[in-house]
Amino acid sequence: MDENQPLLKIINVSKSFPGVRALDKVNMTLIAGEVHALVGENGAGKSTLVKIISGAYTPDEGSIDIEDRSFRSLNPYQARLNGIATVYQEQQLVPWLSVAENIFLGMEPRTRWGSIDFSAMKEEAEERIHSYGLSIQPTDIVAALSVAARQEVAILKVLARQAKVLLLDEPTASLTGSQVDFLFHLIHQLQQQGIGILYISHYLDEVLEISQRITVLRNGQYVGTFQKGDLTKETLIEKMAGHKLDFSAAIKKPVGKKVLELKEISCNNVLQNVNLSLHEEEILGILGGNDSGCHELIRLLAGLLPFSQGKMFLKGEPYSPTCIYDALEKGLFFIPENMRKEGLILPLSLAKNITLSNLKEILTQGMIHLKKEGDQAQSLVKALKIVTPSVKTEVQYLSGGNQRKVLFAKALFANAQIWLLEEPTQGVDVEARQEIHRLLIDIKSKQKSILLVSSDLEELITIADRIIILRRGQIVEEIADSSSTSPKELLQAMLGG
Amino acid sequence: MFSFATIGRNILVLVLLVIIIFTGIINPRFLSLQNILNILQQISVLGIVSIGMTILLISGGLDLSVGSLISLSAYVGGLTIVQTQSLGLGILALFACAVFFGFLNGVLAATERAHPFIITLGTMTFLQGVAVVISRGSPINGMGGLYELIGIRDIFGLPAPAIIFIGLLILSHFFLRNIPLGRYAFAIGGNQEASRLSGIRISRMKIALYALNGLFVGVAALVLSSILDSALPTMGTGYELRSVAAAVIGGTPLFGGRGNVFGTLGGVFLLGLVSNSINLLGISANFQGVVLGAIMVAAVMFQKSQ
Repeated sequence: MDENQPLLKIINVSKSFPGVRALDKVNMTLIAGEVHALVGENGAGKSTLVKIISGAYTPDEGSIDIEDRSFRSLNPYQARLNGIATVYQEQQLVPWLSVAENIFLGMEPRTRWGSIDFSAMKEEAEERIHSYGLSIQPTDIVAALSVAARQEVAILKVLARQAKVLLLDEPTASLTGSQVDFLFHLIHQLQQQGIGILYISHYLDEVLEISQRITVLRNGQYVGTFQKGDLTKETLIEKMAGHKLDFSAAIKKPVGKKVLELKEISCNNVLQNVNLSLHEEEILGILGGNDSGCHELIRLLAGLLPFSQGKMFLKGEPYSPTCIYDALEKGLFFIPENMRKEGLILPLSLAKNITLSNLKEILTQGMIHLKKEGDQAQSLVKALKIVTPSVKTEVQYLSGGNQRKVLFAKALFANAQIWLLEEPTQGVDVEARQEIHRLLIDIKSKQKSILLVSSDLEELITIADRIIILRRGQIVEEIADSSSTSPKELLQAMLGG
Repeated sequence: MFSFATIGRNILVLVLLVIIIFTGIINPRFLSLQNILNILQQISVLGIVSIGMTILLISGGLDLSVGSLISLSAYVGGLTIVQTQSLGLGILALFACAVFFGFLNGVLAATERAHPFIITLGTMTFLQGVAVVISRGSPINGMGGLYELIGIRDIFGLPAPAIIFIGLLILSHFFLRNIPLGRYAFAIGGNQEASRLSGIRISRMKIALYALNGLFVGVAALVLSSILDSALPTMGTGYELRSVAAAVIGGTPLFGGRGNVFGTLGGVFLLGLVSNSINLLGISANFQGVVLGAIMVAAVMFQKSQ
């Protein structure tokens, strides 16, 4: 086999979602027998590209070449037929079937009577397991296996279907050190068979260990493809973060008095001895990955999670909310990241969504004053520049940016003093993003405080007054004056570089 | 705004018109005042149950025990009347029974240990069993003046049951539009998690909504037993499914967050008119199930699927 034969070529592929350019003319080539890593910050376009290759999304332009065939777009069936396989952690397996049954699902060997030939299936599965030096048994029930073993079964399953290109999306996310080593050993074997592997991960050390070439994406843009030998972790981080950003627009003001204080807060294994304080007219940024505990921290403040140790103070008074209602009563308002699932009531109108947390504001003698509701919602729509045909429009028909703003209007209507925000600009376009940033700065300047959990470095540097970096439940760094930071330093602190 | 829901509603109106014109031509008695009043009286019990069901469906809930609960609370009411010779105490007992078990359904549903379909399937079987056990299968005849009070009473020339139904319809429309609990029903049915994060106390609201449904069941039991002037331990059977059907035909989806009681009125009318036309057209009553079932399926097929 020709060593440099391209298995997969992505040529000028672009993809836009309403208001967002997720991928902009991206190019990439995967060669037989190589491990090619795809890296980038959250929102850089990695998952969009993976979904285009596996056939889940249709690109707006560009083409995908698989060996010598060229496609404008793929559907999942075509992708599979042409040897492209995506390995997710467990979704593809049937938990209550055996390893062998899972490997051969839908292509079981038959006896001459047409029934499933279990002994042949078991033998063949055993052979495959042995040839890769795996320790699973063909008769093991998948549900009883460890995460690592399930991943091995998933890989064997796609190999049985003659996969030539393997997409591994964060394959080490829940593996231990020795399991990672074993996975890498397996990947090396696959490489020797001429299989091309596209490896997506945010663990840069692993990326630099396993891959031969690395493609970097940033904000949907193709930054470049680099030989591993030409990169260090430092330079890779630099390429991921970029450095031509202008933050002079942000106005940082001295902060007001302390409104919220956390003293040695611990929460099971997710948070350990967290100390922090939030001041009036301050935006406190919290940066951390998914396993850093930042999502737990914000939910703890909202009364959605209990804390096992430590103390919290709200304006000097002890504060220990037992439910979200307590938090709302005291002026803390939580706006979750997943707004369609946890924030908005999609079939209800804008006005009804806005007033939901504070209905008593528009009650007269126990009844909802509909005209008052409409008028107040209208004035908030105007103040926040929400684009909508009317306040009676169901929120499901609004764009992502406007839906976000509806949640801000809801917080304003509820007289929120402390805003607990989680990824407030996720899934919105650049313009809406800037507008939301301006809005948040405006809101905080009215004696409000904002706690902002975000994985968007640029966002934190732009609007946060201070930034706290969490890693594995602990505060690893506090940056008092965020305007003097660079994204590179932040990323380094977050990834532990 | 243009939407499939409006088409669904228009188709409902169209079907209603076709039935009315067709039956009216073949049997002119169909359009007589007497028959129209008759239909109004016939649909009122189903109508009252369906209002409660509509409110529950909007909130993402469901109560299959309403039929059994009608039987049980009517029987408890009748028994109290017979034992104490007091109409007031009887009505009180009837409502206490209906609201209590509505409340209980709410408490069970609020635990979220199982879908309300399963929970109320259980309470439906349980309550039916209780009704049969305490009545030993035999009815109570004579409801001590209820018949005269509601059963055959006319108010402004309309049968009292119909007046009660229309009154509750208007009240419940107002409830859903202007009362916080009504608003929360829409919110919880539309997105329970978001409602919880908005500070709505989900469990309490659910319990209140199920108890309110119990209240509607109580009214239905009162009206039905006064029309029949008796209480049978199985007289509510079938109301659970027909009330869900009426609500769904009227445009209230099963997944919550939407719906309105006037649509349900249309659904109730459709079911009532079909039964009545089948009678007047001289078609065997055995065909009722066939026709009603077909109409239910057709009606929901035309609705917006989300």
